[in-house]
Amino acid sequence: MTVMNKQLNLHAFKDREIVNKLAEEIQLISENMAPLKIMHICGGHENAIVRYGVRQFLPGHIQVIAGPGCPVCICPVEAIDQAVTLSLQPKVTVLTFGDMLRVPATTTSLEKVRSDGGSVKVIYSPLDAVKFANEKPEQTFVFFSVGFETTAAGIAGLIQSGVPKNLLFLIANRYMPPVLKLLMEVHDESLQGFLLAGHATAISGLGVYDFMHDEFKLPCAAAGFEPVDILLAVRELLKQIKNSQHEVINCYPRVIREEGNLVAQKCLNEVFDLKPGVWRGIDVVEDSAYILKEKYAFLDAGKQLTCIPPYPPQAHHPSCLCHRIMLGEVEPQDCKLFKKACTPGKPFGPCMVSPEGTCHVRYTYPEIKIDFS
Amino acid sequence: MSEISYQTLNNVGHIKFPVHNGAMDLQHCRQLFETIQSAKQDDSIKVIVLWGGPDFFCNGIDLNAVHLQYNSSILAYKNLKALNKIVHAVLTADTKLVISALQGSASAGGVMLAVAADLRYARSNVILTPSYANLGLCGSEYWSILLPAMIGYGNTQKLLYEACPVSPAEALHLGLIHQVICGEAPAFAENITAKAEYLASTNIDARLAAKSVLNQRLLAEMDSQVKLELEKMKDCCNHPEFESSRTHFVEKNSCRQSLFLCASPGNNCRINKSDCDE
Ligand code: SF4
Ligand code: SF4
Repeated sequence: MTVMNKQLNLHAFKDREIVNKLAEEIQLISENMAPLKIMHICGGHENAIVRYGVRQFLPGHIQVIAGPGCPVCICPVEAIDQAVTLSLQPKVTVLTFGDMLRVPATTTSLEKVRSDGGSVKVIYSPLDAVKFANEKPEQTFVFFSVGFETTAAGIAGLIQSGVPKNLLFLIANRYMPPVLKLLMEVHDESLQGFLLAGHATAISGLGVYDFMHDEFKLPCAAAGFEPVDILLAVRELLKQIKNSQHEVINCYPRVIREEGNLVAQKCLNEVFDLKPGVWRGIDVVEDSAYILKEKYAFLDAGKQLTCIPPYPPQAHHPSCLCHRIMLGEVEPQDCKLFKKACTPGKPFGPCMVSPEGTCHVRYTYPEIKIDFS
Repeated sequence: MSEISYQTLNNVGHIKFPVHNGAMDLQHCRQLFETIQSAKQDDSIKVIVLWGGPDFFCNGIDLNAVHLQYNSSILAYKNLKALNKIVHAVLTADTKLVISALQGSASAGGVMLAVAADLRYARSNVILTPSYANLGLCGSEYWSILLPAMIGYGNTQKLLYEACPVSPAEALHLGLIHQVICGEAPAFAENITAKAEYLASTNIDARLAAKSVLNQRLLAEMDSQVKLELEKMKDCCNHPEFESSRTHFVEKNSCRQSLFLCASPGNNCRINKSDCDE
């Protein structure tokens, strides 16, 4: 019997029996298939895959590799440098999510600059930004925003609902679909399918990935974050690959609707334009950077304040391989700094900072065999 | 105005790509690929002549554009894959005979584009420089399948490892080109056009049948072989040697060829005549 993907009991998504059953089915489907690689583009997936030891349930010739899915890791160093510069200006406070603090920028990090006198505060929700701004009207607050569709939608909603005059935005949010085009240009000979990020796809819907079907003829499956979700999506991808199909399918129907979140999409379209944007160390990706529309220029910290640092950006320490890890070309173990000079306590690159960064995940959960029962 | 043009006359399709310095950026590669594809589908022609440009036939990927890019490795890799596609298009032109007409020199991927053609004629000033290694690259564009089949394993070793410029006489001797044609450019063009028209109008089907037999093994193996090339190239594109060689090339634009290895010091070198001490 095939495991259905409409489980209502959430606990079932970690159920060892279902996992075993899926593993068996995957084994069966892939038996006579040539070695292949599937890429996921979500830090949450890497975290779940490693935490739950999902790779041990896949046959050796079926690889699921990590792509550029961690929003903290792909945040351009130029943006962090700008946040650093802003935090040093009188009467300006930079607000950001905790993960961004320790990400190495060109010369320092937001955490270090804070201990050197820069004004940086951690917030837990965009609403905290409004609260801070209301409490101190004489101070200018800059919300340094990173993340994909989900976070961008939150910011768009906040902006549309109106924000205090002393709250500005430094937007480094990125839109996912275009990076798949880049990945295909670089990896078309080595990738056979994509696992799409569950949360981002819940906002954008599946239609925005149709180019994968039309242009690249590669199957994609949107997946959730439990072991069963991931294995189920892998199984569906393998079926497609085996049958030379290339549909974009929804393997996370309890969260994703085909058309996505229409309210959030409308909000995003009203607040942001999409422009070419840097994905840290990787490349400039067409139409992937959320930029505030002209009518919201008065909220744009980049336009209202001086935030260009007096030094050129450097995306990576010369030995750091983060950009190649994010492209799925190498593994953290290939970096000679991994676990030696570079640790979560002393990160050299962005991938070692966030719990969704591949180096951080691999550092935290090394080669474990988990018993689900 | 597009630098890439396609004209047909007397059963022959003429493709010219006089790009600046022979350096093919992504856009050029895409245009040339599409041009070759449409020539392949053009029922009015039987022979395709690749003319390159008057000064250079083709010098491979555009290292200047690559150097300016946010991530040079990615652009270099994309660029060389785009060039691979062109070479693939030439190699799989099974209903046409393809001629390379080298009016000017070629290097790196440009050499491979030239030798991918079925017949290769060069002016007597033409130098071929398979300079991948000088640029910190191992090379792609199907060299690993074309060269050993064409000039033998040993000669391929010398060509790739030493990466020295090859004079027209040597290229002829090796079989990289089939004839060196003396005289000025217009005479060369006239000569090649006459050859192409003759081939296109005389027993062309027999020639194409011979081509299909001759190329069968090569075509069967080319996909797996180019995969190997690309894997290695990906590493090369990310290697510091590529960055330093590229910087040297872009900033000094001079020769990295060791004079010890150079086959023809100072002699009509396409790399940079004025920089050569000899
Ligand atoms: S281990 Fe550290 S230095 Fe190496 S790639 Fe990962 S983050 Fe970069
Ligand atoms: S510049 Fe001089 S040394 Fe260099 S390849 Fe040309 S002739 Fe040889």
